[in-house]
Amino acid sequence: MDTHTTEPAVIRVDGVWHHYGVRPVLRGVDLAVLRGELLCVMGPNGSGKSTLLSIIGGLLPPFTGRVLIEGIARRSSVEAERAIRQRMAYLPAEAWLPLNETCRAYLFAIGRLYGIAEARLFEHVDRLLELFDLDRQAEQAMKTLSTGQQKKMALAGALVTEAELLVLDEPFSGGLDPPALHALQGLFERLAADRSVTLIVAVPVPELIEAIADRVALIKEGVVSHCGTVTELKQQAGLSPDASFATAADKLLGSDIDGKLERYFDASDPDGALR
Amino acid sequence: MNRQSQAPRARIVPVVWLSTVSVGTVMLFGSVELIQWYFDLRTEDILSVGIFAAFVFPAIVMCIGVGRHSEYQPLTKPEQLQWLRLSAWEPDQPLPFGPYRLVWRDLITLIWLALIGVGWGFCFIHFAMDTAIDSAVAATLERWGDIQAAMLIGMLASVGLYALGYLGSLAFHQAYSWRVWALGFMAPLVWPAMTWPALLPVWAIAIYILILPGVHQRLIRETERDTLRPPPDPLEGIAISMFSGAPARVGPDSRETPAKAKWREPGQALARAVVYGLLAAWWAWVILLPLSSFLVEMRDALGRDTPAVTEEARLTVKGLCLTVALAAGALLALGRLFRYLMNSAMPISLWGRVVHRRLIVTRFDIVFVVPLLIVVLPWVLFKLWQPQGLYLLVYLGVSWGLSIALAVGPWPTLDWWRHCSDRVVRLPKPGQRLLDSGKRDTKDIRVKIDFSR
Repeated sequence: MDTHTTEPAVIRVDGVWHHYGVRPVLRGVDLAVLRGELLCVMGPNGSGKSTLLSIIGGLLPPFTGRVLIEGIARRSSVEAERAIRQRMAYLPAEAWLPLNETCRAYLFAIGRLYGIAEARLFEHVDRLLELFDLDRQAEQAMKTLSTGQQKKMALAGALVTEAELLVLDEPFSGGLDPPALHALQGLFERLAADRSVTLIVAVPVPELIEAIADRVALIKEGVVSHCGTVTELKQQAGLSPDASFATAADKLLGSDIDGKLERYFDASDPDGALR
Repeated sequence: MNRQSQAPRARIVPVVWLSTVSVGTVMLFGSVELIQWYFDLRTEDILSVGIFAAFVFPAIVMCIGVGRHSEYQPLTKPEQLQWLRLSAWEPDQPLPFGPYRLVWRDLITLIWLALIGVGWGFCFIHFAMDTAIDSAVAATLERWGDIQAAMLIGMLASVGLYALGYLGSLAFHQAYSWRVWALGFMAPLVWPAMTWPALLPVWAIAIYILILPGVHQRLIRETERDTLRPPPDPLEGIAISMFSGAPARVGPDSRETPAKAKWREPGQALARAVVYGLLAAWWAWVILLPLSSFLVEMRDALGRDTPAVTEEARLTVKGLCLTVALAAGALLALGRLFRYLMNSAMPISLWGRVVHRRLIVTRFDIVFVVPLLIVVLPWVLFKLWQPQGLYLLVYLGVSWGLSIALAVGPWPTLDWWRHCSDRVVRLPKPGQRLLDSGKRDTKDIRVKIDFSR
């Protein structure tokens, strides 16, 4: 198991297998996440990151294995599942939005659903809209927003729940502008550190992971190949702590990007005429 | 102002749509009146405009009714339903983006529509008499006088069409509920109610009260559907384990296999089939009753002085009924065969049988028994019944009812046949094709699944 302390895990994934048809996507994944931890999940396309997050988030059932949220097994009973849903917000990479609703109405509707007091909700919605630079669009229907703004609204929808557990699939993708990326980065760090919110986030950008992650789970071909802090993973890759995490991840995942680049240019221009 | 009063609320009243219909009505009929006055035209000359408006505006009002329900009904939007499943929504909470059930604010819509309807009625005064095809409408026109009657009809039509759109959309989500079956049996009784328009709101409210709890129950069921881990499919489990080496699913989940659950289904399917059959027979009777009395009148009129003609007409009508019953039976049998055979794979599919030169696969071919029964049933009934004096209306009702009951329900149901029939499943070893022509080379694993546990 990959936890460093004896503290019980808030989210525990035990021997999870999942298939699409007969093709295995996850093959016996084990994972444990502690309270207030920010775990980044990284891996090549098709390695099973989104499937793993969907299973943790409750969207998909695992073929075998189980997911425990604060000791409660997912899908064990209707009541258990409802209790988990009260505590967890799961945001898929392409989240559904009621596009005819205004930004403010959307956030209010979600806040009320999660039982947040009206006065507190007013303040929180205002702060979220300000954080994502959407205060001027607050009364606009969401269908009038750009792709990046809609992504911000989806993120704001997950955050307005004030859930203790956030499972976010690729929150940094989807056309976010640099201020939003920066805001999100700081927000995740502070939610985990100051408010003990537990976050599992699928992030494809090593630089972002290096900046925010408490721990990183590298997934390759449906298996968690490596899991640890950024420094530990650099060590496992045989690199110094000063090396970039991108190089370490590349090495651990066996991507061999530099070699592939070399081969690409050698093959396309063997005589070096274009150099 | 208290800040909480600024909290956003669902926009139940479709202000844009209602405004558009109101302005459209005023503009269209205003311009018609103007043209009529300026060019000194008669009503008949601009009837096409009236007919156009008579169809377009009611259609829009009906769409507003459909929209009122579907806009806020998660069952109509799979993505929203998925979102709701994963959210903290509980059945006793209001829906986050607005209620699909009617609320007090809907009265604004109803009053607005009633006013638009009054406007239509007033504008349609030139056309109202042309549309008075029902005796009840004609009687009302006579009683109220032209203008008041047209306005009343406009108002009733406007509100009624909205209710029709809303209730129709609501009932759609209850397709397999006993409530909709009840409505199906009661629907023909609407015709007598039409002669007394005051009954229509009573009908609408009764239907609303009848359907609403079922729709909400279905919404709860749908949101709870994915909360429990689905039971494993034994065949899928075996296949996946063989291909990928995943551990077979064991434990509490295995106790309730789909196959075991399906054992219970024939009873439910039989009940459903009986209801389908009864409904078909009832509707056949309702639809054919006016036609039958017309045929009897025609026959009597023709044969008053010539018994030979009467006999000939009687035989013609009988032959026609038998043909209709046989054609309906053949269509139902084909539909059932299509449903079963399109879902079967080689070697039991039609193409599989041709390829393997094995047209009859005895254990599976029980599936043909029911279609054969459906085809011969009308003829057998006709032959058995004719000596006792065949009452055509009852014959058609019984024949259709039984054919439909056989087609939709009884053994073997599709699920039972697929999962529980006495079938032997051959699974190849990894890397081998599922079906090989040379059986001795495949060393296939024969899996006899025991569903009797």
